[in-house]
Amino acid sequence: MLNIQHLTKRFGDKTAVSDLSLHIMPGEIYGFIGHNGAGKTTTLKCVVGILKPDAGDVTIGGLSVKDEPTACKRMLAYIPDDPTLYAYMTGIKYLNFVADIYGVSSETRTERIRKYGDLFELTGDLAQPVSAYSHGMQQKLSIIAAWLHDPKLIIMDEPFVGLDPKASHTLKQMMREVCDAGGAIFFSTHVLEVAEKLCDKVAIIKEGRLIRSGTMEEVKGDESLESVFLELEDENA
Amino acid sequence: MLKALIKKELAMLLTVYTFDSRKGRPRSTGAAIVFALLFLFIFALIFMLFYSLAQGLSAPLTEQGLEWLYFSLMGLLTIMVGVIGSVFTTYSILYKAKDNELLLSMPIPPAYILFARMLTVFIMNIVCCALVWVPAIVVHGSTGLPLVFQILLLFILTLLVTVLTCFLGWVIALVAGRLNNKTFATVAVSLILVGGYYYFYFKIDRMIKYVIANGAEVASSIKGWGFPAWQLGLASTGSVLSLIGFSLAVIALFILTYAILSKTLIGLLTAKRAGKKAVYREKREKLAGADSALLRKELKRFVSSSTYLLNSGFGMLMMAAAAAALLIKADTVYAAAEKVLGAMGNLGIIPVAAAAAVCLITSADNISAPSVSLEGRQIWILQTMPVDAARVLKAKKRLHVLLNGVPAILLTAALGFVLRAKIYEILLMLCVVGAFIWLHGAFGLMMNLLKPNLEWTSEAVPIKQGMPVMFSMFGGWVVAGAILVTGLLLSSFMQPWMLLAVHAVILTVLALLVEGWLSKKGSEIFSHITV
Repeated sequence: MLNIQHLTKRFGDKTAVSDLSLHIMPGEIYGFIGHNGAGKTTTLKCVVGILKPDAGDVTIGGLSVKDEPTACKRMLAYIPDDPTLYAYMTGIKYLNFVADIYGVSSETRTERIRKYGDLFELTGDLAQPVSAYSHGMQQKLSIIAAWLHDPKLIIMDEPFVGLDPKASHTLKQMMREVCDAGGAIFFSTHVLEVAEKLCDKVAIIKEGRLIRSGTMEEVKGDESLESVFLELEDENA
Repeated sequence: MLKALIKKELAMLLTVYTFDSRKGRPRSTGAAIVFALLFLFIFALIFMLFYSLAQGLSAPLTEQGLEWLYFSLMGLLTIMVGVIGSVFTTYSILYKAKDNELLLSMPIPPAYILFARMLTVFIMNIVCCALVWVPAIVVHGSTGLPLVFQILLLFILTLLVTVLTCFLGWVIALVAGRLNNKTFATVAVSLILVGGYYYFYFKIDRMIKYVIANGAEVASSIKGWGFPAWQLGLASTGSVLSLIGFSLAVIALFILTYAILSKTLIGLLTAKRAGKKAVYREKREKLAGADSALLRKELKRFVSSSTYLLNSGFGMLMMAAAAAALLIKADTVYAAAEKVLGAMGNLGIIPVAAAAAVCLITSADNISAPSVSLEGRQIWILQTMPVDAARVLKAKKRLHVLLNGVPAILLTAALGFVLRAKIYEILLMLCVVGAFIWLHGAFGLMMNLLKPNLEWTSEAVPIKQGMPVMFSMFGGWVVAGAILVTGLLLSSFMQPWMLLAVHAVILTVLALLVEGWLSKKGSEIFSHITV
């Protein structure tokens, strides 16, 4: 589904991501962990086409993000770490805007907005302007918008930050449903317990370099993900 | 405690000179000096404006023995300019400061917070009032006690203006808390103020002549309805009793306003929007195409911001109003055009000059120039959607062209009709104006892509202070000027219709060149700009 090959991204003299390769298969929830400034967000931004890699390539469903960005974007959805949305729109206007861009039919969008709005208890607030939403509400709205066009690949940067426990639980269920239906999810997180329980595979990045990746068993063995992560951080210090 | 608060408020007032909000960092010493000099230059211009106005009134009224009337009128003007000039800033200083919650969480009495802020307003108002009152003093040239009183009255008048602006700011805060559509209200109030300003500007000459010709009548009228203004006039000419009475009345008003405002301060600073929560009712939305959705998004962005509407859409209003005014005053306009261009021996240039004039007016509307910067931190939304950046840019440009195009067509057609241009000349004028608006919209967008600013904290920064807007506006003026100048130079060799056709072709070619840049380089830039 998602193939990252020898990805390198530099900002001036600083190499944010160096020769990173990952392969995410359909049906997988892939966790991406690393300390602050390790290069997680940069990698995710390269995957969704916001940043242009200096070397390497990213393909989604066999199509290159560099050569066919629009076709790739049609397959994916992205939720950034700080999903600020259009403050001048109401929640429902924003969702309809997204649905229009992705060509979601009237019937389907109505059904999905109702379904996910109710799941996140946001339906009653959809007529409110986004400017009146709390951070958590904007996060919920951005999740609904991401799920609206039934994407095959969902990229999320710290998706659980700002969500209440119930919404976090709902999101985890939704992530699993996407993967059970043949989709894939690639997300970054600092919450290692969540990654350990939720992810099929995990990648650990440090200073832009991949230091370990694989299935959860391959990466952590009998230990906890937290202790493995801390050990790897120390080893590579 | 109060001293520390006052110090902080004054430091914030000075940040206008010391901090560059566009770049989000302190100005260099050189930049601060240049900025201060620019302010001084603007102040000097305004000072001269009121100096010449005072000159027109002073001598005739003094000759009639109505010195007090002169000072009454200049005092009223001082109050008017002070109130109009600072009422919205006062509202922001009193109620919209970013440190409201921080200060309220500290053990500071709200009355202290208010006093420090009212003092800041007072200091700001001294500058505003001095711009009118000081020229009045200088022109009249009093000496001795009256001069001392006039200088004292600058501070008393400033205190009165502070009372009025603080009171009006309080009213705005009360009303704003209950409004559902603040954008509409802000635009409406701003247009009323601008309309009032223009009305006054066009009537001032006639008003001065009336006052001079009917000094005694105006004086007795003011004694009747404007007792405080009469006392102000008397105080300015040396009456001790009037000075004391007027000053005490102003101080009493200040104390009363201060008491009312400090009682309500916490309530207004912590008030949440009181409007009814909109109820969501599910309904099926028709599927719209991506281009239509993008255009509607741009339109929503434009109409939801009073700053954007007023600064980038004022020309549209002017064009519509001018089209209506032209049809009403058709003969006068034609006679004026005939006189000016006839004196230059070049009546044939009329259609070209008219098209250039419309281009000049539309240059004030820079809708596309800040539109990329206005995406701000939300730019990721469009960047990750499955639409080419070229289509996003096209939507921004289309909004510019559509919103400017309609009033520009009306104005151009009205000008063509009033100036008795031939039908084919009117059609060519429309081609020139249409091509100009297309070029202007595309050029503004190009400038913004070359100089984007996504990290603003106030949307006024990209809309009012951004380089792309400056380049777009001045670029528009240069092109409009070039149309007129080349028209004048070539009019002896070419017919007006030929000149118009040549200009339309050149503008179209330029627009196509910019379009080419936008679709390749511009789209590439837009796809990868990051905050």
